[in-house]
Amino acid sequence: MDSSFDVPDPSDWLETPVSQLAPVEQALRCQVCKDFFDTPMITSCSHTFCSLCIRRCLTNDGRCPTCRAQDQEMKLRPNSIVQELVDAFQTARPVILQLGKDAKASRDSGGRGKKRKVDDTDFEEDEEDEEDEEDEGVENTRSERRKTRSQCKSHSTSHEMIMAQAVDDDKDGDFQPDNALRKKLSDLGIPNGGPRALLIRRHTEWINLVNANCDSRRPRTKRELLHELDVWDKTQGRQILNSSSGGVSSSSVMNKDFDGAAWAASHDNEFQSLIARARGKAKPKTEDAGGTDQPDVPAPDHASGNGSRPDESSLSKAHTEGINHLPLPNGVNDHLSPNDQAPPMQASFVDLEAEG
Amino acid sequence: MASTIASRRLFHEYKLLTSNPPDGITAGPVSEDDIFLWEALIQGPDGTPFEGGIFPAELKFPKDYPLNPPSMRFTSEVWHPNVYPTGLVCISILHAPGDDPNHYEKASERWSPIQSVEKILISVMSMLAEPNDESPANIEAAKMWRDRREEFERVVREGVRRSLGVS
Repeated sequence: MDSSFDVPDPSDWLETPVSQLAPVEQALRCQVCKDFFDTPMITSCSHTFCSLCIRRCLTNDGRCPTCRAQDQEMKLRPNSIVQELVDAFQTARPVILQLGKDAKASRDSGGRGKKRKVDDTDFEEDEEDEEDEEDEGVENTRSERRKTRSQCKSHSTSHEMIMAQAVDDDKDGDFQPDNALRKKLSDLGIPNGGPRALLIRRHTEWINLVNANCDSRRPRTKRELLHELDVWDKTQGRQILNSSSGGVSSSSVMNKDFDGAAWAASHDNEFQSLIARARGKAKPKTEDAGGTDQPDVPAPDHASGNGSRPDESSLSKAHTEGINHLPLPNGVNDHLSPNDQAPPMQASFVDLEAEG
Repeated sequence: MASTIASRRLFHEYKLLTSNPPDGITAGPVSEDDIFLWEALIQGPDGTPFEGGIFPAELKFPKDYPLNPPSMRFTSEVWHPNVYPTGLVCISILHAPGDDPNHYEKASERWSPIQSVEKILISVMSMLAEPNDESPANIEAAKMWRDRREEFERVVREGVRRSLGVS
């Protein structure tokens, strides 16, 4: 891992005489990524986050991370004064921090009385020098900013076009068959391999990256964005792959390429024990005199809508078929007649697919 | 590997936790190779049967942290209504707003990207002091806590003593 554990952070101020700057810096950082605001955007509930952070949050659950009010990406607006504050503070930060550290060092090493006084005057002189530099620094960033702003204007038209197109794509993204989705991704110039769940998430991530880049005053090139997406693919993308193949979430069952046979095979024991338990429960109600241990007693048809009485083999077959077609959470099987089991489940599966 | 939003954010949290740690809590990555696996030590809150105990736990962070919460598991024995026998901690701050396994939690109590490791550990510490028996993870412990409080406290104290190796 190339990044060190040492990241600049508000606590850097705590050991200096200007520890009051810690909350100032805290306020200039995004609550989601804990970094300085990068392209701050304000939500309709008046909370500010980095453009990319809030876009990721909203595509994840549609709520503001701070107050959990529902919000939409369309309603985000740039909070440009915050960007200016961050830029100015970041320029001043190393200078003031060094001043603070020097002041602390001289205070620690210096004794009291006369010597201290000398130190103090030294310090004041230093401070004046630094202030001059700082002023220049601010001037410099101001002119730089003017430059980037005008550059940005020339960029903006082409970028906004990508944004409009990207947002458009998103509208129907969830409902496209795999091939169309794959084509869309390759048209956008991004990787189009992997299962459907991954394709959709990758598309969402790309749109977030592009849209955040459109907001930015210092837009990055497509190559840089593709690199970001590659990093995403290698971390979060891989996690999505693992969770969808591991069958951990119930939603993976709804996947088009869900491997029902493998699922049935790997969960065979659980299904068998569920079947055994269901039979054990069912018997006493109809066969009052019958022992509970006899496995060849026909199952009752109280659950069956059509009144037909399935024999042991067809019951068992229906169960197995049902499982092979589509495993459903416990309890769902109870409401279906053993005979009709496979078809209705498949129908509901198709319905759900169609609804997305 | 390039650093991601998740790992940068975890670095920030680690730094803050080491420079300004809350009372009775320490936490950090198990090794520098994997910032997504942390271990934490929580002190049993004073005035509760957990007092005097030190409870080690591991935190596993998803790659899309902080969009989704970490999972937390005590690695020592903890007899508590909201801790599964496996050690897994069941507390609302560790549940994403989308999934509510128990259908009773308020959205405002659940995970959000502005929550943090520090807030999780503080919540778990107060959970030790005040169990929530509405949706117990350990039903036996919950029943005992509700109906036989003295026995519950005795079991907890014995567990604490065992973990410290003094009994």
